Amino acid sequence: MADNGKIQLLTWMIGNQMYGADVKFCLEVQKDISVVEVPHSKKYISGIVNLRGDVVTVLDLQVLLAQKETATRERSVIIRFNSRERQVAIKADAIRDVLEIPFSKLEDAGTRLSSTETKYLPYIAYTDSTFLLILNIEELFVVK
Amino acid sequence: MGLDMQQLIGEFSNEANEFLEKAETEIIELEKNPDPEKINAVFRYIHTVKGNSGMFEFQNLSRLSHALESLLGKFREGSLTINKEYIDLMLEAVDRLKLMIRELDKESTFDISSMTEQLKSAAAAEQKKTVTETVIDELAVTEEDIIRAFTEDFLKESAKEAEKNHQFASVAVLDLMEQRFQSVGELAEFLSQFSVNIKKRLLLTDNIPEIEISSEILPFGFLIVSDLDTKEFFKKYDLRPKFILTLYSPIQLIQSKETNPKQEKQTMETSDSYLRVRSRLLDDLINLVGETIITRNQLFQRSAFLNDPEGGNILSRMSQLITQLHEKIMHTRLQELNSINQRIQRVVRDTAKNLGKQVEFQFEGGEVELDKTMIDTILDSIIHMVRNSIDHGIETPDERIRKGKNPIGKIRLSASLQIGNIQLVIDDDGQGLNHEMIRKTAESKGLVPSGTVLTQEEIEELVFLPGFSTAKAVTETSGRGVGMDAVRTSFKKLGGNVHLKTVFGKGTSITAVIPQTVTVISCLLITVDQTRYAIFQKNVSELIQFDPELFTVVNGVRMYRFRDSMLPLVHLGKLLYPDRDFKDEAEYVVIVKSENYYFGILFDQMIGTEEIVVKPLGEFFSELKLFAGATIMGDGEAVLILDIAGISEFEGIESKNKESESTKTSSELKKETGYLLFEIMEHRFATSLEYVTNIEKLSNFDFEDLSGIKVIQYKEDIIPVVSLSDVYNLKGESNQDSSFLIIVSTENKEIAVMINEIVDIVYDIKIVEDDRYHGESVLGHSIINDKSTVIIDIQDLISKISKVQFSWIGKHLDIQQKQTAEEEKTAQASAG
Repeated sequence: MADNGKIQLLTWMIGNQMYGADVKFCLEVQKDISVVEVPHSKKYISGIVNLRGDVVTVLDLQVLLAQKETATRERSVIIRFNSRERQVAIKADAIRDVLEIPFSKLEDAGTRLSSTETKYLPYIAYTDSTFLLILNIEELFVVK
Repeated sequence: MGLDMQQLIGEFSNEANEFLEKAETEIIELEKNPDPEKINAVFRYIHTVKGNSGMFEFQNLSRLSHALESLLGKFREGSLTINKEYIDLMLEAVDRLKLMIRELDKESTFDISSMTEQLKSAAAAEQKKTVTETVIDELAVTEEDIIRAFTEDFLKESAKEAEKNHQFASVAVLDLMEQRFQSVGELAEFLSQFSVNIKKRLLLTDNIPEIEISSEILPFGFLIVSDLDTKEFFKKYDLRPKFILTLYSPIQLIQSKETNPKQEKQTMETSDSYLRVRSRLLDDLINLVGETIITRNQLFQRSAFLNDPEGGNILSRMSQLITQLHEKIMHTRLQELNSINQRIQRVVRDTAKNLGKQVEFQFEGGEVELDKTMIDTILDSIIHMVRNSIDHGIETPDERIRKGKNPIGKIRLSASLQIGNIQLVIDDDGQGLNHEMIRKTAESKGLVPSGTVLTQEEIEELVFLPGFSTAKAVTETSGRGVGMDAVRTSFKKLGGNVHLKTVFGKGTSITAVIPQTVTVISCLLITVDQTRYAIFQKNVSELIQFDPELFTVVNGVRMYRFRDSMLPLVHLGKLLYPDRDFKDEAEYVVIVKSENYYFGILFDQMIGTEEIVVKPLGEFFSELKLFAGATIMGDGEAVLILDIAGISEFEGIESKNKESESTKTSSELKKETGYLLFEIMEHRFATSLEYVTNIEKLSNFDFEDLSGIKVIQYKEDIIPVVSLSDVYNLKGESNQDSSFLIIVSTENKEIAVMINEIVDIVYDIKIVEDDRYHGESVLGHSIINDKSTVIIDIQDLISKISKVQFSWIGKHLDIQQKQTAEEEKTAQASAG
């Protein structure tokens, strides 16, 4: 988290929804990488990818958040997160800018989202044109 | 306190720990063999710990190690002889030292007064020798120390130089306080009058940590080159050196040559020394070399497009080097199991002593190497099992004598390398476990419903259930609620398992198997529905082209005939992608072996074998047993590695509690064939697959009548057909559409057995002998899939029937065979 009361967020699109995560957790963004499906694994797991020699698990946020529309394209963007030496990646349709948002503009997502969703998306932030959902990376590692 | 200091203290504690462990080993050895060399070794270890502790101002550590050292000094000078009590005391002191090292920040709060008092009074027991001598002994400089301080190369060089100039070269150790000189400069000046040159001087305390810094004497080492014999010279001018090491002497050439080989040997040993390396660094190296291999493979794929033979040569040379490099690096993490020997010896000794038992511990296969992290993981389990053996297994000496056993109990830990696995066996010759008692205990704890019929193996398995403990009372030694379930969990975490075998009154044997982790493994690469998968080469037994002739599928049970036995066949496509459509058949079959069973895996295409780097799948897949990991291919894509044991478990091929017998490995296929479960007139039967050579659809054959006996043509032969419903006089509805023939081979002849329905192939069934199910060749009955099933010995049955019914067919066939053989002979003869 950046100083002066602001948070820097890497943002991305899945379908028509914009998501964001604290940049300090974001390790890299890769395009055109094929995700290898892991048969019989959990539904919210898209598969595994090779990211610079590491085999990283790719999660499907849409499934995890129990969203109906999973209009994710075949070849999508992979965002790798890193927290306390653990790694995980998610699939996104497209990458957007890094936004700097004052903490004061973060709102509790509970009013807008279901409890399943707020577990992973505790905050909402409004920008000029739209709103974005902020992902709690730590929560991705305790997915059951 | 800066970071450097922190680091230094870290190094100090590591080193101190290592020395204390070594000291402990030697002390335990001393009990059996009070070798003066060993006493010296212990003395030095403790001395070093003392010196370093003093340097870091750890008062308690330094005081306690000093007290221990003094006691050791007594043994060294021979005024005390080592006995069991002293060993106990010394071990206790070493434990205390270790404890303090472990909690260095609380070092000053430890109360060591009683411990030091004990040591002191032990040391004072026979204090007869003069005190003055021991003071000099404080400075125990050895040749080795000097070589270390000055470095071998420098000493050799100086010796060579002296030889060239026909001069004397030696190293003298002096402490200034004992001489008449106030400073090194003064001494040097004095020496230079006699053209004695000090080539190099070192304050030895800086270079040899053994030498105590707190002592009042400051030992200096001087490398002296002169025209005079240093020894003579020193004597003449009343300089009192502590030690003189002659490097070169032009006069005593003959003598020095004699001693040379010994010295050479010693220096050789010191040069093959060890370096302490942070294990994190080793991990990094392993990862890097893994990356290098992946990159190499990528490069190889590219190089196929380059048309440059010379470049190709360089590339393959580099590739070889990388392979070698990888091997070496992998070895850096390996550690011999011997490294845990001392810990276990200690446990055995202490436990036996506490319980008043006598135990001899044997350790075999200490040279087996394992990854260091693995050793750390299993050590606690091994200790737990050894403790268990002593506590529950080995009887007291009196009891053993009463039973006619040797009063000294035996516990043996042996390690050996199996195919890709390491097997650890812990045997004892104690009282063993009473199976009935185990069962009752498990029942009373509600772990199994009472009255359950269990085989011996199943009872032995109960020991591993959480919450099981046979100890009548929780003892300090074992039975702290950790139990064998924790032991099993720790082995399972490493991908292994553990089993127990016990004979009441005779002893218990625990076998643990763990995979030897080598992260680069040769793998077979295959494809299923365009997706690549890898199978560890060590699992692969044979690779064959799929032959539909040998393939049978009945009610979803796929079987493949391989060398006269029917093997279960796993359709990889259907297994991995149940939603997709697959044909029953495929291109290839790979015969794989898991822990006990051989089975076939059906797949589409073969890519070849490749050396791959195994990467863990990570925590998200911890419950998924089908894959052993993943690897990254030359093209950068991730590929999953199939876990053969996991697949067999998933498909129900593997039973839970078999493997102890599987250790008698051989290249041959084992006759672990399982049982064919089938139905006749809605009665369930099962028979061992051992003699079943094939299963055919009845509709494929036409029955012929040969003098009232049904026969079919089968593979250019005429074979009789037996209807089991006739044999057992079964009545009921028969569904003619789904009838099968089981081809059974007996006494080199084949016979077809007609049945209605194939149900399944099952393993490890419990056969209960029961009078209600008597009949020809009935072995007993069993409950399989909740249905009562009659188990028959089909081979026995067939041979009985054929003796009566088909005897003439047999004769007929024999005659036919003889005739054809004779025809062939005559044909050959006429051709010749």
